[in-house]
Amino acid sequence: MNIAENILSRSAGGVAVTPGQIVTCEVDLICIDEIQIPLFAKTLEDMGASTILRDKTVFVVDHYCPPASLHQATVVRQVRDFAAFHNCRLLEGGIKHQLLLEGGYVRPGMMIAATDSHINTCGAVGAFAAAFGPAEAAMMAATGFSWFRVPATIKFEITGKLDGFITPRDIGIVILGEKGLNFANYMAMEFCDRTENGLSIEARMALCNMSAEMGAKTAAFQVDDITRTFLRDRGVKEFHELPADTTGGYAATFSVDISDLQPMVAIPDSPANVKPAAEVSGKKIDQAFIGSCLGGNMEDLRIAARILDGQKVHPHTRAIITPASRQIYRDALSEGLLEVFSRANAHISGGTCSVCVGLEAPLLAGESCISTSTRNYKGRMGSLDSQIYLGSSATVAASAVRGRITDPREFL
Amino acid sequence: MRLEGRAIKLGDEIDTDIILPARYLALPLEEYSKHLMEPVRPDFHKEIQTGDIIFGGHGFGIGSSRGQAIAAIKYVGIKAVVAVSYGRIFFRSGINEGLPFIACEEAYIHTDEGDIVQIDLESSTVINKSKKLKFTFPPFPEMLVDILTVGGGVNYYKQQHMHR
Repeated sequence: MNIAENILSRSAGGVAVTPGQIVTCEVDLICIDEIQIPLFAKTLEDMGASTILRDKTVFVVDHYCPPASLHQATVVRQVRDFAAFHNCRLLEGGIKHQLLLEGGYVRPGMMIAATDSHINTCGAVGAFAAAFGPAEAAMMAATGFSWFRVPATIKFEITGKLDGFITPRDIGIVILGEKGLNFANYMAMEFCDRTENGLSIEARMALCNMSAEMGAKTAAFQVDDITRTFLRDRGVKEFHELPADTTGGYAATFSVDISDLQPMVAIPDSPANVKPAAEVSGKKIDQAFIGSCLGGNMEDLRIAARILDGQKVHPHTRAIITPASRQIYRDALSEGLLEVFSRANAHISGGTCSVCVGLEAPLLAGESCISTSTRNYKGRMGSLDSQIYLGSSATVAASAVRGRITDPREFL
Repeated sequence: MRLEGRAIKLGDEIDTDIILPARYLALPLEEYSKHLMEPVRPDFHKEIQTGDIIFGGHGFGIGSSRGQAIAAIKYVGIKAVVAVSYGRIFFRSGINEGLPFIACEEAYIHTDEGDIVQIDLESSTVINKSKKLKFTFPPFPEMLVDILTVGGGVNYYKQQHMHR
C-alpha cells in the first residue's frame, strides 16, 4: 500500500482499501478559517448539533487579518466568539498550513481536513491532508468522520540538484506545464525525494501545495530524516511512523530531474499555461507580490533578499512582501531580510492570504502583476481585465527591480 | 430521483474565482448570490429560473473550498449540474447540498442553452427533451445516492443520528 492507502486504511479502522472504493474514515484534525465560519456554523445549527469535537477542531484567522471592512470584521468576530464558546483552539498570525506545520500540529500518518484547497501543503511531512467545503467540515467536527473515495496514487521521483536561482516553485511549474491543469484530478500524489542534497520541508510544502492546481485530492512526501529533524525541532517527539514499505499500488510513476531547469512563469489565465521567464521577459509589471501559502516562507524571502539587497523596486512597480507567518516574520527580521526589503521600497505586511485572493492591493483594469502566489485565474486579484503571472520569489524580485518580467539569473 | 429543467450552458474551467469572486464572500448570502458567475455572465442571477440545470465543461468548480459558491448556486435555484468533469471539493460540496452533480461529456457536448433536460438518477440517464437525445452516465455509488435521495448531507446526518 502507498501512503494515501495506508492512512485511509488505518483511519477506516484497518480495513483493506482499493482505489475507487468508498470508505468511512476518522479524521484527526479539522481546520476551519474565518471565511468559512458562517456556513460552518449554519450547518451545525441545521444538523441540530450543539457540540463539536474540541480536540480535533482548530479555527484560523488567515484571510481577513486585519479585516478591511465592517463585513470582514463581523466574520472575524464570529470565528473568535465561536472558538471561545466551544473552547477550541484559535490560530492567528499566519496562513493555516504554515501555522499547522510550524506549530507541530501535523504528524506523519495523520488524516487532516480543512476548508482550504491548499491544505495539501501539510503532506510535506507525510500526512493525508484534503480540502472540503464548510458544510462537510461541520459534519466532521460534529462526528469525527467522513466518507472518502480511495484515490489512485501517482508517484513522482525527484532526482538531481537545484542550482542558482532555480526554486521548488519552478519544479512545480514545469510539472504543471508538462502534464496540464488538473491532470491528477481525484488522485493522490506521492513524492519520493531522491535529490542529491535532499529537498527542504519548505520545498516539499511548495510541491504539495501545487498539487492542488494539479487537481490532486492530497499529496504527500515519504517520511525521511529531513522530516524527522523538522518534527523534532518543533517539539513533536512521538508520531505514528508509517510502515517502512509504503511503496506499491501506483497507477503511474514519473521521474523529474531538477538539475537543468530554468526559471519559469505561468502566464494568464492558468497555472498550467507556462513559459520560461526568459521568453516573456520585458513584459511591464505594475505590481509584484512575494507571499501566500506557496511563496512566503523563509527560503522564498532569503532568495528574494539576495536579489533585492542594495536595489530599489522600479518606480512604476509596487512591491508587496508578506511573510506567511509571524514566526517567518521574526526570522526574517533577525536575519536582516526585512531591512533589505524596506530599503528596496517594498511594502511589508504579515501573515495573511490577502493579496493572493484579491482582498488587498487589488489590480486595476489593464494592470499586470507577477506573484509567488497560488493561482492566476481571471480576475482573482481584482479587475477582470488585469493579468497575473506566477513565478518564484527570485523571478518576482528580479522583475520588481526591473519593472518588467525578468529572468533572475541576470542577478547571479 | 428525477428532475427536469432548462439548460444553462457554460464553458470549460469555470473555477471558483469565476463562480464567486473572493471579494464578495464576507457579504450575506442574498447579497453575494447576486455576483454568481459575474466574470463570465454579470446578470447570471437575474437570468436563472428555479429548476435550471447548469451544463459545464472540463473542471467545473476547480479551485477554492469556498462554501459560498455552492450556497449561491443553490440559493438562485439551480437544481443540478451536468459537467464533463469537476473540481473534487466542489463535487463533494454539491452532493452534500443534495444537488446531483452529473459527469457526462456527451450530454454536455450535445446540449445547448435553453434545451429542456431531464435527469434520472435511478436509470443514470440525462434526456435532452428538446433534441430527443438520451445519454447515460456511470451510476453513483450507493452512499451518494442515499445522500442525494434524502436531500443532502444534513438530512443524511439526521437520519443516521436518529437510527442510533
